[in-house]
Amino acid sequence: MATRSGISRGFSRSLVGTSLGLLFMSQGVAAQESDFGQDCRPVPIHVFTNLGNNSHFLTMHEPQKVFLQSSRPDYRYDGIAYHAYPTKALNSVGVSRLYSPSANVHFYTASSSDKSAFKSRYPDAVDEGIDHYAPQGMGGGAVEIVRFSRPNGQAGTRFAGSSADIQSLTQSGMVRDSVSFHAFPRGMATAGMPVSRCEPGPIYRFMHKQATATFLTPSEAEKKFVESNRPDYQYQGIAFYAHGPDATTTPGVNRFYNPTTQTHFYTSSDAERASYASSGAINEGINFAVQPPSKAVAADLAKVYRLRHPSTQRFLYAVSESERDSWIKTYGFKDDGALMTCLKVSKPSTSGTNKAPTVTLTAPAFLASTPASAKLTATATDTDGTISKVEFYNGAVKLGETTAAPHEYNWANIAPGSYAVLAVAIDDKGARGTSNTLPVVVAASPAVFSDAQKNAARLLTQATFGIKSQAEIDGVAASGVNGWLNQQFALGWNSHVAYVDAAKSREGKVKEEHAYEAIWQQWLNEPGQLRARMSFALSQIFVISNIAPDLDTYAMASYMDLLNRNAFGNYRTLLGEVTLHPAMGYYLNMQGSKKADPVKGTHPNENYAREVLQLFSIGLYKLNTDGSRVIGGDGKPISTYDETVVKGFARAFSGWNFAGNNTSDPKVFDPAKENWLEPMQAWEMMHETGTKQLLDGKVLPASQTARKDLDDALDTIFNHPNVGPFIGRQLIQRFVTSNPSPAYIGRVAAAFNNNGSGVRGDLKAVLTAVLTDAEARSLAGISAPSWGKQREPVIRFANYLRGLNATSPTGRNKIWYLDDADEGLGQSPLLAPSVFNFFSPNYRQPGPLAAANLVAPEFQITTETSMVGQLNFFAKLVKNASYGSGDTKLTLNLDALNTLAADPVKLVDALNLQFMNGLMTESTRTVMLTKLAAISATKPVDRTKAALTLLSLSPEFAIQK
Amino acid sequence: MLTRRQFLHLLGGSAAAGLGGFADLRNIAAAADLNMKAAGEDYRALIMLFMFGGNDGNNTVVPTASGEYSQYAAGRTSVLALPTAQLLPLTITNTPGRTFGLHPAMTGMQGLINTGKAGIVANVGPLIVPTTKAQLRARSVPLPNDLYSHSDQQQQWQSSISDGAPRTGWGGRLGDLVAASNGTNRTSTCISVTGNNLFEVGTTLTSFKVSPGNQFGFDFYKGPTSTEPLSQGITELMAMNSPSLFEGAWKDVIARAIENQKILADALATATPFTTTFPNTGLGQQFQMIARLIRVRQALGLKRQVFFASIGGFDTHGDDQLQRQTELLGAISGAVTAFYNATVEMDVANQVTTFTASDFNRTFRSNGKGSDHAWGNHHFVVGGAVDGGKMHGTFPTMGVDGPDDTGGGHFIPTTSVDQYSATLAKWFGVSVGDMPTILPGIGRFPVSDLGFMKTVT
Repeated sequence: MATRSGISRGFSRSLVGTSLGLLFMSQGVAAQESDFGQDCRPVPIHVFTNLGNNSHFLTMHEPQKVFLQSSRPDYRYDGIAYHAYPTKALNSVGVSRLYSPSANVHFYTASSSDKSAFKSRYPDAVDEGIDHYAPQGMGGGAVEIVRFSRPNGQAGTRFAGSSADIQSLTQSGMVRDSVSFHAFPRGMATAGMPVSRCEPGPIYRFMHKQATATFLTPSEAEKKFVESNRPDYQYQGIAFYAHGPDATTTPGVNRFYNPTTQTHFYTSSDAERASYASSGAINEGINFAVQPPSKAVAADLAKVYRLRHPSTQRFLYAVSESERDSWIKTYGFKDDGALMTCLKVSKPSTSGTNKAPTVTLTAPAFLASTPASAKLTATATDTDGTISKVEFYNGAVKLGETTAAPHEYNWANIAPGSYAVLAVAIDDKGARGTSNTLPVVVAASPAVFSDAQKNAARLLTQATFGIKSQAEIDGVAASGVNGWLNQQFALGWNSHVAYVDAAKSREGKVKEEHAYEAIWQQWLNEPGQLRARMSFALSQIFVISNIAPDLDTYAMASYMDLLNRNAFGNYRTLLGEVTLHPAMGYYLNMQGSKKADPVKGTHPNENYAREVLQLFSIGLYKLNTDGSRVIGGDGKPISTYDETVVKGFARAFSGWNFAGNNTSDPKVFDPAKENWLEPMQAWEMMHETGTKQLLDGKVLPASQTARKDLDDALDTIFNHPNVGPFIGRQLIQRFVTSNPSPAYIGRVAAAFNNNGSGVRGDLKAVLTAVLTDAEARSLAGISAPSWGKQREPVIRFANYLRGLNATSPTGRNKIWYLDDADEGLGQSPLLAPSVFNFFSPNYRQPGPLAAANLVAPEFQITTETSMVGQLNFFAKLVKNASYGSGDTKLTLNLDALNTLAADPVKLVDALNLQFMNGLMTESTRTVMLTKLAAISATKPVDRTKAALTLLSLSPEFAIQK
Repeated sequence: MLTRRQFLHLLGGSAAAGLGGFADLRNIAAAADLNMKAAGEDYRALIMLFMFGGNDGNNTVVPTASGEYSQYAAGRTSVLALPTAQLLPLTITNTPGRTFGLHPAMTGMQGLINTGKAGIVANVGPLIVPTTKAQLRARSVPLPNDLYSHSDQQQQWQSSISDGAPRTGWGGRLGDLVAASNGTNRTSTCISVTGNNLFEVGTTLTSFKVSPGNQFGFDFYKGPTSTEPLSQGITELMAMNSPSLFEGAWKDVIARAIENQKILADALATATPFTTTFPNTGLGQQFQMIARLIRVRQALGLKRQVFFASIGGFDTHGDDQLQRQTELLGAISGAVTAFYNATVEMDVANQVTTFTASDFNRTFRSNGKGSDHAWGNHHFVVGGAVDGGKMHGTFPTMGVDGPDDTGGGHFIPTTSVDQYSATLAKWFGVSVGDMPTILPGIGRFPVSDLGFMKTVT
C-alpha cells in the first residue's frame, strides 16, 4: 500500500474513521481574484517535533493537531509556530509540504527550486501540496521564518521565527538554510494581524460505499490519500467551494467523527456541536467555513442538505435538491433539516456576464530615505462598466482606497523593509480585478558599523587574504591592532615542500602545479594570514618566476618556505638565504657563475648582482629616509652605483653552485648535480680572487673566500641607508596604500633602521610600523582622492573564496595558472613575466592618477583586455558558485547570504562590512539596493549572485582604502 | 629549455602619464567592400615590435667576411659563437667588403631582406648626443640615465627620452599629432595587442588594449540600455562620481573595456579572413590581430595608426641562451613574415611598417654561459616602404675592447634611438616643424633621416 505521508499513514481509526493530514485548498483557484474573495485572518500554524529525528512538522489544520496529540506519541506538540493564511490570500505565497518516507522527514518551502532540490535529494519525496499561505514581504508585522537544517547532511529541518529561536538553533549546531518565507509571529495578538482577502477553495466529497456516509475534506493531500489507500471510499468530485476556518465573519464548520456509528458529521451550529460531542463523537475541529448569503451573489450560492439515516445514524451531505431526493429514496435517509450555505459547485468566477476590471500598478521599487513615502499609482479599466473604487494593499494589509481617477495612493511613513504591494479594482457591479504585485524596498539606515569595526575590517583587508566572518572582525576589534599582530606573529605555516611531498606520494609524481596549490592552501586555509600575506609580498620583491626559465617544483616550494620562514625575521638573514637559494641562483644565474676567464674572455654573471641592487635592496638612486631622492649639487638624483659596482658584486658572488657536490672538484662545478632544497655552496677555485668594487667606495680586499666575500657584499647592501625606505615603501604599497606620505615611509624606514632595541632589519618591527602607523589606521585620511590602492587581482579572488567559505571535497585546490589576461586574472603567484614582477612600484596609470603625480602599481596589469578577463572570471565564479571541478572543486557557500537576500538591505549591509570594510558609500548602496530589489524576492539566490557580481567590479571593492 | 609557458605573453612595461579622456569608437560604417583598399587611400601604420629582456643582437646579425667573423668568433668564444655554416646568407647591397649572415632561425626575415622588403639598422641605442669611445672614457658628454637597467632602457627606447623621467612615449606623441585625422575613432589611433606600455602613451591619448586571442566583451553585461538589473547596476556603478582617483581609474578601464571592446569586436566581425597563415605562437596571434584591425580600418574610419606588439624572454644570462634565442627569433621571423604577406594581400604593404626595439644588446663577451646587459643593438625595419636589403647606420667593429666597445663588451651606439625614430616618424607624416615635438632630442644629432624609408610618394 503506497503511503503518502508519514503523518497520514495509519490514521485510520475504523471503517470510515479517518482523520488525515488536512490541507485546505491548494490548486484549482484562479490566480485572479474572484468575486468570492472575502476578508480572512491568519490562523495558527501548529508545530510538532518528530522525536525520531528532531525534525519539525507544521500544520495549519486543527483536526490534524488534535489527532497527532492523541494518537502519535512519536510526535511532540510544541505549540504554535507562527500565523499564516489558510487559503490563497492577496500577496501570499503557498508553503508546500513534502514528505520523504525513507528519511521520515517533512519539508516545507515556498520556493519551487527549493522543492526540486529536496526531491532530487530524496527521490521518494512526495509533494503533499500547500499547507498554508505565507504573506509576501514584511507588511502588517510579518517576520522572517528561517529554516535550519540538521548538521552534516542529516535529514530534518526546524524553523525559527524570532531572533531567540535563531540564536538557539544556531547554538545547537544546526545550519541556517538559504531560503525563508514570512509569517506573523507567535504571540502576536490576533486582533493585530492584518486582514487579507482570501479565495475560497474546493471541498472534496467522498461516499463510503458500505457505510453509505459522506466524508468531506478541503485537503488535496487528504483527498489523494483516500483515493490511493481507501478503496472503500468513492470519490464524488468537488462538492462546493468554501473559505478556510479563518473567515472573519463566517461560521466555521466543525468536523466530528463518531466512533460508534463510524461516520463523520459536519456542523456550524453551536448547539449541535455541544450535543453531538456529548454523544461520544470526537470533535476534530474546524474544517472549513460556511458562506453567509450576504457575502456573495445569490445565484452563486449552493445549498448543502444534511441527511440522516434513522437507524445507522450516519450522514449524507447532498448539494442539490435532486440529489437529496434521490438519496432519500435510494438509501432510506431522512432530511435532517440542517442546511449549510456554501459556494456553488462550479469553479468560482465572475458572476453573470459582467466582465471584471483590469488594473495595473506602478510603485517605486526602492526608497532610500527613511521615513519613506511612496506614491502608488493604479490604472484601472472596465470594458463593460465603470470603476467604482481601487483598493491598495501592502502585503495583506489594505492601505486605503480611491473612488475616482487618478487612482493614486500616497503611502507614507514606511518603515525600512521589503514589501509587496498590489491594487484591486472593483467595478460598478462588484466584480474585482487584481493588479500585478510589485516589490517595494525601503532601505534601512545603513547598519551602523563602529569605527572599531571598520578599522578591524580594514586591518583584516590589508593584512589577510580575506575576511571570513563578522565574528572575525569583532575579534580583531576586541583584541586591537597590536593584539592581533602579536597573535599572528606567533602563528606558523605548513611547509610547502611537505605539501609537494604529500602530492608526490598521492599522485606518484611531482608537477609544477603542486607548488601553486601549496600557496593557495596557505592563503585560503591557514590561520597565519599575516605571514601568508608577507611571504606573498616578499615574493613580489624577491621575485622568482616559473615563466622563464622553468623552475623545479621543489625549488619553488622550498623558496616559499624560505620566505615564510623569514617573513617575521631579519632582512639580512632573508637576503642571505634568498641569495644562496638554488631557485634564485638558477633564476638570476648566480648558480654556476664563475670567475673571469682571460683566455676565453668571459666574466662573472652580472644578472643577480644587478637585480639584487636594483630590485631587492637599494634601487637606482640614493634615497633620504623618507624615500625621496637625494639631489646632488647639479640638481639631479644621485645614482647608487655604476657598472663598476655591478661588476664588483658579480665578482663577489662568483663560485657558487648546487649543494651536495664535491666542491673541491672543479669538474663537477659545471654542470653540478641539481639540489633544489639546500643553499648553494662555494667552489673556491671558481671564485674571483681579486678586489671587488662595492657601494660607496667600499672595496673588498683580494683573496677572501667566496663565503667571506658574499657576506661582506651582502652586509654592504644591508647597511646601505636606502634599504629601509626602499623596502619599507614597497611593503606599504603591498599592504596599505600606493602613495604613502614621505613621513609614513620615514617612520617605517626608521623601524627598519632600529627596531627599538638597536637591531637593524627586523621585519616584524617593519611590518608593525606599516600596519600600526597612524596613516594606515586613520579613518579620516582615507577619503583623500590620493589614498588607497587597487586590491591585487589574486587577492580579490582569495577574498571571495575565503569570504564565501569555499570548500572542496578533499580540502585541496587546483588553482594553477591565473596569469592569462583573457581568461584569468593577469596575475598568479610565482608566474610574473620577469624579475620586475607583474607591476612596478612606480607604475603610473595614464590619466588623472598620473596627472596628480601618483603611482598605481596594480594598474600596470589592469588593461582593457585584462579587465574584461577579470570581469568574466568573477562573474563566472559567482554564477557557478564554484571554481574548478572534481574532488578539488571549491564550492562557495552562499547560504547565509541567500538567507539575508530576502531583504536586500541586510544582504548589502553584510557585503559592505565583509568586503568593503563598512565603508560603502550611500550612492553605491543605492545602486545595489535598487537593482537587488528589482529581482524577485522569491529568487534569493539570484539576488545574492547579482550582488556578488556587482560587488566584484564595484570601485569600492576593487580599491582598498 | 623553452616550454609552452614561455610563449604566453611575456609582458614588460613601464610608466607613463597624460590621458585626457577618450573618444568612443563609434560610427562603424559597415560596408561590404571596406576590406579593400580604396583608390588613393591615405593610410599609414607603424608597428613597434618590442623584444623584452634585451635581444642578443650580436648573434642576430653576424659579420661573415673572414676577418670580421674571426674577431666575432674569438670574442664570443665557443660558448656563444654561431658557426658560419649555420648563418643565413644576406645579400646586403650597400656594404662593399663586408658581408653578413642572419641568425639561423630567421629564414622568413632572410627572405624579406634579400628581396628588399626589410632592412637592418645597425648599432642603435639611446644617446643624449653623438658619443665616441674617447668621449665616454673622458666622461666629456652626457650619457643616458641608467644604462643597462631593463626598466629604464625599455622606457628610453619607447619614449626616445634618455635624460629625464619620460611620461609619454613617442608613439603616443605621434598619436596625439595625427588623432584628428581619425575622426571620431581617436581611441583606435594607438592600439596595443600586448598590454600596457609607455610607447603609446601620449598627452591626450593612450593605448587601447586589444586581446590577440579575440576575446571581447564582458559576457554578463547586456549594454547600457538593458533593463536587466545586473546590467543596469553595472551601468549605474560606472556612472557614479568617485572622488577617489583610484576608483576613477578603475571605472575608466571598465568603461573603455566593455564599451569600446564591443565596438571593435563588431568591426572585426566584418573582416574577411586572410589567405596568409599566421604561425600559432603568441606573437603570431598578436600580428594576426593587428592585420585584422588594419583590414577593418575603413569601417572604423582610420587613416593613421600606431601598434605595439611584444615578445619577452630575451634576458639570456644563462646557459640556455642559444636555444632560447633560436626559439624567440624564429617566432619573430615567422610572425613578421606572415604579417608582411598579409599586408601584401591587403594591398597596404607600402602603407605599413614594422620595426623592432629591445631593452639593449647583450654583452659581446660571455659570462661563461650566456651574456649580460649591454647597449647598442641591431634592428629590423620591415615593409614595402623600407629601403630594404641594406645595412643602414654603421655596423660596429667586432672585437673585445675594440673601437666601438666601452670596454665592458658593450657597443657604443653609432645611431641614436632619436634618429631611428625620426626616420620612421617622417615616413609616418611628421613634418620638420613637428619633429621636435615628437622627438625632443633630435636636434642634437646631425642627421634626422637615416634614409632607410623611401620617400613618400
